[in-house]
Amino acid sequence: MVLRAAVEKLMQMLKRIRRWLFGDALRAFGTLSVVLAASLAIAPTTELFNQWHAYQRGYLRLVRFRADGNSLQRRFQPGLQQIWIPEL
Amino acid sequence: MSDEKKYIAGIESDQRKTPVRVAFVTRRTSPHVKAVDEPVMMTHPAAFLRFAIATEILLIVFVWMALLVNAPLEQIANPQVTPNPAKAPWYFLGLQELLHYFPPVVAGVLIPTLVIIALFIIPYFNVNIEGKPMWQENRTRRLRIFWPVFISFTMFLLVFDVYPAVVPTVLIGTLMALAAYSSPDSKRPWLWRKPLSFWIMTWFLLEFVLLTVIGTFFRGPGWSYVLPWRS
Repeated sequence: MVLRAAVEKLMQMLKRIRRWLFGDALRAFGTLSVVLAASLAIAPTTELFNQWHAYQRGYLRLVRFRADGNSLQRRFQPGLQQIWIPEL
Repeated sequence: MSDEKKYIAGIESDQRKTPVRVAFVTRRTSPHVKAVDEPVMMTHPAAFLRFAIATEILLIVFVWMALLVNAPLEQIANPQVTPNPAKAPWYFLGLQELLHYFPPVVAGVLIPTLVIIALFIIPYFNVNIEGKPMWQENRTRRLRIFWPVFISFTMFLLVFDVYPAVVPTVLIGTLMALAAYSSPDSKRPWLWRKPLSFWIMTWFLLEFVLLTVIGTFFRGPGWSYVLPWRS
C-alpha cells in the first residue's frame, strides 16, 4: 500500500513536471530552446576540458621554469595537430 | 436660393444617356461576398510553433550525433598519391555514378542544367496543384504521349548501358501503365488516384537513392563493381 501510494505520488509529480515543461506548444518550444542551447554549449565546454588540453597546459607550466623556456613557449603551437607516421 | 443639382444620384444603366457616371460605394451598395463560416486556424502560433518545435528537435538530434559520433578522419592528404577511387561526398555520388555512364558534358553539364531550367519553367505551366489523378482526363491523348516518352527514355538509358537507372524507370513506367488501365472502382484505386507529380517524384527519389547507394557501397578501384562485405 505504501509502495503503491509512493508510485502514485511519483507519477503525479512526473505528470505535473511534464505539464509544466510541455503543457502547450509555447512551453514545449521554450523547453526545447533551453535543451538546444545547453546542447550547443556542450561542444566548446568539452573542447576546453579534454585530455590533450590539460597536457598542453601542463607542458607550458613545465617549460616556464626552464632556461630555454621563452623560445619553447614561442615555438609552442596550441591546438590539435594531425601527424601521420607511415610506420604505424 | 435653392441650388439645382446637376446630377442625379441613382442607378443608370444607359451609357448613351449618361456617359459619365460616378459610382458611390457605400456600406449599403458594397458588393456582397458569399462567405461560408469555416473553422479558422491562424498560422501563428498554431503552425509556426509546431514547425519551430520540429526544427528544434531535429537540431538537438544532429547536435548530439555530432557530439557522440566522430567524423571519419583519414590520413593526411598526399598530393603525390591520388586515392583510387576518388569519391565525391555521399550526396554527389549519384551524380558521379551517372558520370560513369554518360560523357562528362551530358552528366556534369547538360543534365543539371536541364533540371535547373525545368525548375524555372515549371511554375509557368498548369502543374495540377489540386493533385487530380493523372488518368482522369484526356486519357487517350495522355497515353499517346506516355508510351513514346517512356519507351524512348528507356531506350536512351539502354543505349548508354545505364542499367541501374533503367530499373526504377521500368518499375515506375509499369505502375503508371497499370494505373492508366485501371479505374477508380478497380482493385487498385490508390494507383489510379496518383497525379503525375507523384510518379515523377517517386521515380526521382528511387533513382537518387539507388545511384547513391551503388556509388557509395558498390564501387571500388577503377570504379568497378565491388561487394562491400568482401572488401
